[in-house]
Amino acid sequence: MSETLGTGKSAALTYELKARCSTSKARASTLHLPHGPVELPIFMPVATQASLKGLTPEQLENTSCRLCLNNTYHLGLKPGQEVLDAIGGAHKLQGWHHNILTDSGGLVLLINSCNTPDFFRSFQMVSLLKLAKITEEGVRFLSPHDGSPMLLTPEHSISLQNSIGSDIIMQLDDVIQTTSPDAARMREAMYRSVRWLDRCIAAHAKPETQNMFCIIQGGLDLDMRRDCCIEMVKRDTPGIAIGGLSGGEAKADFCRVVDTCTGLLPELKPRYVMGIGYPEDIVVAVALGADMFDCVWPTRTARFGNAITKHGVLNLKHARYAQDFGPVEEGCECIICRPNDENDGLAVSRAYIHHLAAKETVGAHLLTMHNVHWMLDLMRRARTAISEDRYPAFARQFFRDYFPGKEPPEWAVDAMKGVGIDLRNST
Amino acid sequence: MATERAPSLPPEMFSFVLRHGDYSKAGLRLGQLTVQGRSAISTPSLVIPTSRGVIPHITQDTVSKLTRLSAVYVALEDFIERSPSKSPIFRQNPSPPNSKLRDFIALPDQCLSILGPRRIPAIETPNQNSNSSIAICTSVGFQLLNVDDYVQSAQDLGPDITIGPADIVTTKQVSQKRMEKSADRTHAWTRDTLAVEPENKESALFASLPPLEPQRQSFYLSDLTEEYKGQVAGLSTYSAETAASLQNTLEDLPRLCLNNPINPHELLRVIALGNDLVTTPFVTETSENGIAMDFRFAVSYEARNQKLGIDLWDNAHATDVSPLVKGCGCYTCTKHHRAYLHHLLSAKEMLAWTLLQIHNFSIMEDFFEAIRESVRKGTFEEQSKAFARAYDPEMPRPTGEGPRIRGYQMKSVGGGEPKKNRKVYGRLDEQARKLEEAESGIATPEEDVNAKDIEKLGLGEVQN
Repeated sequence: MSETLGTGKSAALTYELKARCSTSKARASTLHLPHGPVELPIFMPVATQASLKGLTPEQLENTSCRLCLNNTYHLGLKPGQEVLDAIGGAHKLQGWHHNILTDSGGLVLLINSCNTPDFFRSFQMVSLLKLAKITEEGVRFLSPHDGSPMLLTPEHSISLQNSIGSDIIMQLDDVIQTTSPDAARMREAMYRSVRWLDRCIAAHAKPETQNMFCIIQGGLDLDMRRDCCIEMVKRDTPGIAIGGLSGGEAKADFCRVVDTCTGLLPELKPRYVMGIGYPEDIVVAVALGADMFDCVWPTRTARFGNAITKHGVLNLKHARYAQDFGPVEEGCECIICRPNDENDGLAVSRAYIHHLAAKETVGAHLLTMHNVHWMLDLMRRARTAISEDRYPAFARQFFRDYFPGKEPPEWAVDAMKGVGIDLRNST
Repeated sequence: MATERAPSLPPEMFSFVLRHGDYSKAGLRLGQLTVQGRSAISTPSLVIPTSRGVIPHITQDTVSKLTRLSAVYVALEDFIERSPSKSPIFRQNPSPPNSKLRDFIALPDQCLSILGPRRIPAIETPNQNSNSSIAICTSVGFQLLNVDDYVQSAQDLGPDITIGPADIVTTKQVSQKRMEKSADRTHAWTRDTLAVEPENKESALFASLPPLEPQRQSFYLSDLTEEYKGQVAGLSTYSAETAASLQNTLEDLPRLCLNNPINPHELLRVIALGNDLVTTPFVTETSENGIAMDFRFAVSYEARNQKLGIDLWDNAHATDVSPLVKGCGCYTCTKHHRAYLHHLLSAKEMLAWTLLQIHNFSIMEDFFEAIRESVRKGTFEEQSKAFARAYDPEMPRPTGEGPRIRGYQMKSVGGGEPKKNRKVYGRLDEQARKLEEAESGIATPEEDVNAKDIEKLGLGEVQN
């Protein structure tokens, strides 16, 4: 593990490639950021408004998280840029001594939403998209606060992210839904995103301490994605994101886009797939050569009483768990599942989560700790598997466990086959 | 007959020693309560009411790592949506030495568990207690809890301390007749409780003393003394004054006041009357109101016009990176600042209440420590007067919204009250309205608006 296969450096980060899967495109690496190193592949929990849903920064740290997200749009509204400047950035605001990544604040609700069609989310998304007008200068929209007209330009987004002081910042991009049938508009958005990247780079005041990632656009059109990769890669940002996904496209399309992009990206830079996702999405995307993921799903679903486990998601609000006195997941090493005699474990039962779910905030906090720990642990296990060159077996075992008694989903089988992994192989 | 029985618990399992104060006189005292398996508690001390078994907003790991809390109160009504015997908590298979209760709610070892039938403060019920049952409120509605079931349940769950059943009248006006009935019922229920030979003698019984007028009180007490002394480990009171009326009877027993003092002034009065343990639901309420407590008992004799708390909703704290209370050693004050708390409150983030609970509990523990110190030094009375002079009579009024209120937390009788929670989806109505306007072209920013003018507004223009 100490061996390094290659190193990529830019002003504020170092990317060390540690291991490659000999079958798929999966890779294990270490990313050195201004607030310490993180191991890739990584899942980043989302602390939208500078707080991870009731967890203290220490509790988040105890899940082993060393890189979390804040949303620029939300922090721009509250506490606002002036306050962020006065306080000295988001790390100081929230007492978090590790790394932070921020999005551009563009169409945060689109980026934020996972693949689940959800009335509430899509309604908000649509309303914001309709309220926003994207022009060459930037995104014009009405303040959700008082309805006054506002304009978010690439320069302003970067200035806000400079005030936030996040370790990784994202360019402002022109996002339209991947499922949009308007190819001309899609191409326009893609080229505009490239032009905006140039403006973002020019506006970036702190390249020595903050790493800007470009965002590959182009919808589901692979040629457009290829053109975008070529243009974006020329700009030589410290890291590269694949954007515009998680907007309700078919999973097979999603996989094709990730596969195509990673094929064109430089090897020694981190690759971040935005807004992804479910555990199965991540396990596949890692095989396709992606390194970084974020999603609000694990923390949001915790608040609805859903626990992520090796054997799938359990809705602990269901009556069948009322008398289930076992831990949320047998053998899980998170603080709530650990037995009392193991390093101060809380030994909280499914029955007690059932008793608290949707009634006491503590129920949400406990399950949030479990779910975040679970996602980070999944990534840790994936990384170990890559290092030991047994990622295909790891992925097969994951699908067997996570979809008990079922075949792995068709899209996953196909995508994995494309990188040499046969999920149906029983060995 | 009853006196022939052995005392309920041997001293190594439960003891209360008075350290200071005169047994023969009413009033303030200093003691030490020791329960097997828990750290000794110096009294006077506070007891935190839980909600569904948790201290609101703080997870169990936070309780152990970041608070000094030593006792919690748990209400049986929070666990019996189904009939008592069928509710899940009774099926818990505890790992010794833990009780079913402790294991089910994952209560940290540092906290003594006290079980009573009803939440504190209890929600008024539309139905009345009967001769054999207590009216309760569960998360699925109002019910009657049979007193025998309560006693059985308490034995089964094995809290460190069990509150004896009592017929407590929750209405403000109580007739003479009703008061007599309350005394008779509580007396009978206490007798029945003690008649049950406990399977395990691990739970100490705190017999209930309902608030009675002096004469009835003394009858009731002499009965209790003659018949049951030795079987009763402590007393539960429902009014601060009850303790003061005890005088020479049962003075060696610890007294737990299941009351709701609404601020530190009131709390001082409760303690001065000779209550050893006091429930303090107002701490959680203060945290939910976005207020950081800012008082200490050992205040200078000259101090005047001090506020009891800081309203963190106030915009004045927006960029203030100083601790909530200067010199406070709690986690919140040493690791975070006012600006973050202000941000969390206005962003409606749950962590605000968590951090405020940690701070407010710390202030309360300091407050009690200073009280005990003053009793040792003999300065309690002077200090109490100085405290009364120095601080405002009330906690600051809340200016922002707290957490959403659940049915089992709501004081509702008969209906007709205004809605407890604001309509959240109203925000979407607002979006829908704007969407309509946008589509009609009235409000959409037009391209001829000067971009620089709009950009100046930025995202940061939020008027609260």
